[in-house]
Amino acid sequence: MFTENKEIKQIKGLKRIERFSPEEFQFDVMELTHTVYEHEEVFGQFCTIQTYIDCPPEIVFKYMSNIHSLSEWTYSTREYKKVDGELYRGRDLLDKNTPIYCSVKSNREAMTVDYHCAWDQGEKLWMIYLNRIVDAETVLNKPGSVVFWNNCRHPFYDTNPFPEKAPPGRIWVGELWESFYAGHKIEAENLKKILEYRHKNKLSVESVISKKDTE
Amino acid sequence: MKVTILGAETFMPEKIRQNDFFTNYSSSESNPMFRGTKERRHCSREDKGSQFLEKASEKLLEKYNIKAEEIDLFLSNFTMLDIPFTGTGAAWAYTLGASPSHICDIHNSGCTSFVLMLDLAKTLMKSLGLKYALIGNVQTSAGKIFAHPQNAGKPQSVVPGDGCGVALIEASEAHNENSGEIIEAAIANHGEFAEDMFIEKGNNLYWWEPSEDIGSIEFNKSRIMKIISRGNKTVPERIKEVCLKADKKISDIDFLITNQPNPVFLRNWREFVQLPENKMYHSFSKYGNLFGAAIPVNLSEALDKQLIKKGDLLCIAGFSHAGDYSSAALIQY
Repeated sequence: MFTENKEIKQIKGLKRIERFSPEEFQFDVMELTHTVYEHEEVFGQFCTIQTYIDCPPEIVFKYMSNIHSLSEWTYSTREYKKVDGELYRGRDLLDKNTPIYCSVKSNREAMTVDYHCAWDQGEKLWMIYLNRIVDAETVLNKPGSVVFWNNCRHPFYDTNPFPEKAPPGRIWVGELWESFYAGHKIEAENLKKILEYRHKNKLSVESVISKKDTE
Repeated sequence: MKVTILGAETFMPEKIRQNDFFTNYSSSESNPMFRGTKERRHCSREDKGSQFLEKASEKLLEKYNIKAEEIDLFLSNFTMLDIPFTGTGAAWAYTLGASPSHICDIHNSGCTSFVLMLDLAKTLMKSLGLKYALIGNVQTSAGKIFAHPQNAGKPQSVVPGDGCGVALIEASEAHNENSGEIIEAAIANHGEFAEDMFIEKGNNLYWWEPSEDIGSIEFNKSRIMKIISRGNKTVPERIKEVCLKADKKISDIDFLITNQPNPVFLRNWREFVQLPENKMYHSFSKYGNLFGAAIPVNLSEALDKQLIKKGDLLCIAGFSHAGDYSSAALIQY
C-alpha cells in the first residue's frame, strides 16, 4: 500500500492520515464549516456556479459551443459577428454599447466550453468563462446535464489595462465582479430554461443556431 | 403583566482541573478536543446538584431581598439526577426553605433547557398569577462521569465542566429598571435525533445494569458531521423564528449568549447574528462545556461585568444533546 514517499514527507503542512489523525482531521473539518459565509470569502477570487439542466449533455455542448447561443442566454451580449478565424465581435448592451470580443474554445471529448472574451479589444482575451458539462446520469443518476461555470478574478478586473479604448464615462467590467455570482446565476437560469424548453418540445437547438450563423 | 429576569447567580465547584489532568490519563496533547479548553471545574463524588442550586439561589435571594417562601415556582434541569425517580427539584426547594406550589424538573431540553424553562415560567406565572420563580441548571457529570479514571483518557472527556446557574424571575405590572423582559421564545423538538446520544457500556449492557464499567457518554460516531450540521442549522433557524415572532430583525440583537459545546459553534452562531466578539459572552476556556448551566452562568457573569446594557436586546439560544432540541429567546433590557 502506498503511504508516504520521501518527497511527500518533505512537504510541510500536508494533512494526510499517515501523520494527521482522523480526530484532528475531523476537528479541522468542523472549524472550516461555518453557519454563514461572507460573500467575499466565497466569491472573492473565484466565482463558481452550477446548474442541472434537463437536456442531454451532447445537446447542451452543441448549443453552448456555438457563439450565437450567447445572444440568447446571456443577459446583455448580442450580435456576434466574425472578425477573423475564431474571433467574433459582439455588443454588450450593459453599458454604452460596449464592444465585446469572444473566442469559443470547446473540447468535445472533455465536454468543456470556454469563452475567452474581453471588452473593447480583441488582442488580449482575458475574461475567461470556463464551463464543463457533465452527464447527469453519472453524477445525479438521472437524465440531463450538470453545467459547472467558473470565473477567476484576473487582475485586469481590478484595473482596466486599456482605458484608452473604453467609451468615456462607461463603467469598467471589474466593478461588477461582486455581482458576478448573482448575474451568472440569472444567466445560467436562462440557459437552463431555453434548453429545457427546446428539449421538452423536441425543438432543435441547431436550427436556431445555424440560422443565426448564416445571418 | 411583564415577566422579567431580575438577575442571575452562579455556584461553581472549587476544584479547578487543567488540561494536564487528562494528558496524565493517556489523552494525548494533540487531542483536538483541547482546542479552546484551558481549565474546567470538577465536582466531587459527594457533591449534590441541589446543594449547588441552593448556594446560587441563596446569593440571588439575598441580593434582591426576597425570602425563599415567596418563591412560587421552581424549574430545574440536572444533567445528572442525584435522586433518580423523584428528581432533584423538590430537594432544592426544601433545602432553600421554600414550599412552592409548583416544582418542575425539566430533562428533555438539556443544554438549552434554560430557554424552555424561561418560556414555561412566563406561561405558568401569567396563567397562575405567580409572583416569583427560580430557574436553575446544574451540571455535575464532568467530575463524576467524564473525570472517572475509566473515562478521563477519552478524547471527549476534556470538554465538560461542572457548574450551576440560577435566575430569578418576577411577574409584575411595574417595570423594574435593571431587569430583562422575556419577550418571546422559539422552541423546536427534533425527536428523531434523541437516540443519537447515549450512555455506552461494554458487553451491550444498559446503563442501569450492574457492571465494572461505569459507562461513558457517547454520540453516534457515524453521524458526527450530521450532528454538527444540526447545530449549525437549527440554532440559526430558531433565532430567525424568534425574531419573526417578536417582529424584530436579526440585526436588532445587541448581545448573544448560547450554550457552549465548543468554540466552533460559539463562532458560528455569533457570525450568524453578525455580532463582534465583544457582543457575545461565553466562558468556554475557563469552564468548558457546562451543558445546561452554560446559559445562566454566562448570563450571570455578563450581567456582573455589565456587558449587557440597558436597552439591549439579548438573544439566548442553543441546541441540546445530538440535536433533539433547539431554542432561542429574546430578552429586552
